Amino acid sequence: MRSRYQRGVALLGVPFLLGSLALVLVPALVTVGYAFTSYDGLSPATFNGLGTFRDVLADPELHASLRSTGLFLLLAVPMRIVGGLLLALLAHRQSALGGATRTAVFAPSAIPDAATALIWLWVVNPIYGPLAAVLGLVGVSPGPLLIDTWGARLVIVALSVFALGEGFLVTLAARRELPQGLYDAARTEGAGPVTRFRMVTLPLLAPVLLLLTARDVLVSMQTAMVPTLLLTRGGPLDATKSLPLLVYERGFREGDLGEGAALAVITLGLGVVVFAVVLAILRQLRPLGGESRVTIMKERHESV
Amino acid sequence: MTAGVAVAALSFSYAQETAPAVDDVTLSADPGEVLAVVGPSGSGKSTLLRLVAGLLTPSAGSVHVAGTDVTALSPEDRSAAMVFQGFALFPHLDVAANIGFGLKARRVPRAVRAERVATVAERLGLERLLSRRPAELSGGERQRVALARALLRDPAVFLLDEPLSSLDPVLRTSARRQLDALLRADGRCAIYVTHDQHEAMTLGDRVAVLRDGRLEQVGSPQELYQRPANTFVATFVGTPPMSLVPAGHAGLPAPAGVSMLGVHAEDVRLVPGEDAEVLAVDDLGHERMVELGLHGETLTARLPAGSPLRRGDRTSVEVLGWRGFDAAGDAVS
Repeated sequence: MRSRYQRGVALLGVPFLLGSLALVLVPALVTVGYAFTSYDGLSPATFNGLGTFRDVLADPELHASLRSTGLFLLLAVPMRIVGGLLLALLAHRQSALGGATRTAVFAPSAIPDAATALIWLWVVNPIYGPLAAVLGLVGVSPGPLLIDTWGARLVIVALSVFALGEGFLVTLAARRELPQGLYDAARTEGAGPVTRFRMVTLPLLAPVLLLLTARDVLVSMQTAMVPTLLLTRGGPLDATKSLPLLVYERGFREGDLGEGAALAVITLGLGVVVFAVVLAILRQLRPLGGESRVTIMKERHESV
Repeated sequence: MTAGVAVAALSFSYAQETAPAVDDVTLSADPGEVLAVVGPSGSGKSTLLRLVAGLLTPSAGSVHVAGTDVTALSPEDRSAAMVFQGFALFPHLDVAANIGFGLKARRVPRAVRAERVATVAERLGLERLLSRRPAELSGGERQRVALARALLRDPAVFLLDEPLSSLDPVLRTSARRQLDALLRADGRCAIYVTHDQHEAMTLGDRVAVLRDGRLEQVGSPQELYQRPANTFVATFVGTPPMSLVPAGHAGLPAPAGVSMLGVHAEDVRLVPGEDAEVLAVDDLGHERMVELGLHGETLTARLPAGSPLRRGDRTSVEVLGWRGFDAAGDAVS
């Protein structure tokens, strides 16, 4: 028998559930449906079976996109995670600077995507941008970065690395949960700063970092999409055409909603694979991530 | 300088507090000696221990370990092993890795490490638990792992911060005996911090009493009990502690310069009379502790098990022995 209170709480969830249904679940299902059709948004969709998938899988643009997405993720995700970790450890250590540091690190993540694109357009401008000005001091000219394949890639990676605020905050919160007693014990046991990081901090943060990595594989692609669209439109030579951008171009700019949907489903499938792998690793770490998390909390409360 | 541990004129203040947490403390413990440090909470005893370990840097004074001035050294460079309150075991490491942590941090080869871990684990009866994680251990087992971790390092000094306080009372006595045997086995020196004077008296060769960061008295348990330096020590030490009554009160002795008398329960004898009222009787089975009201003052008397007194009975007291304290609370010898 459910109490009135429980029913009340369930009622509060209804708008959210309706929203998710209408804005996420139904469009997702419709997208999966369109992936098996030819559809240009004007004439009715015609069932195409696996034909649409066959077409897009053979499409060299998908291959180019997979390549540039892979390169982007390989560069951006480790830098975002490691950068977030280092900044979190720094912010944890320098508690006096804590507030200002946290704000400074998080701010780029709070800037709207379009504004980010404009800022970077100015930063890398070869004539009056600050990057050219700074490099000019040491006699180096970066040139027009955005028309060079690696230049454009690195600009998109840099832009995404600056927006690591969420990972930073999560890592900082996780670091704060680790009891000081463990560090005192490590020190009296003879562990210097590097050993303490290697033997205490890193293994205890590992589950959080791993989860952040999995999330970042999906999220960093999405957050970089709008600035990429505005800065490079996926170019030059598809060097920055990530999967979400390809989906957008194919579906909305080229008007091939069927192929766009198929590409979206492929992107989703890859995301699911990445997440499954990470979850499998996390399950291996269970004694570390599950129970011991509870132990840590308990010890933390006992030591207070 | 002795080969044990010595602190001299040691002071420390926490940044946000005005009163020093440790105030001009001079203490030493010789090799093979267990020095118990006891005091109420907030008396600075844990702070003192952390200063010796190097986890805190003193604002004044020095710390010597094994004859070397370690005041400026960080904890990782001092030969002091610490057992923490709550044990501070690493939750992500199994028992073997927890015990061997210090050796691994010092890059001792794996084979040597495994052998020494096995030796110390056997000594503490942990052989069968080596692959467990702390979350899978009982409180007593965790305490033994923490001890094993400290023992393995072969330090010049053991620092123990309330190592028994998180154990349940049934376990505490046996754990205390085991600890006692371990601390004495190798002739090392140990500083043992506790808020429990009973634990301090039973474990310490000498006991140091702290209050508000200051050292009130240091001496053998017997010295502390028989000859407390002041009224604080008198009322802190002993089960039950001394009763304090004004000198000359209700016919009690009133020597010159003495304003308070400290009276042990065993020095109170009951005589026929009407002066005192029995306020409470604690029957301990083998004896009875009787709290007496004596014209507004209270006095505890230790009586044999069979004594027939009940609450509300009237009697009179005779004091067989006492220690005198002056108006400032210091002992008058």
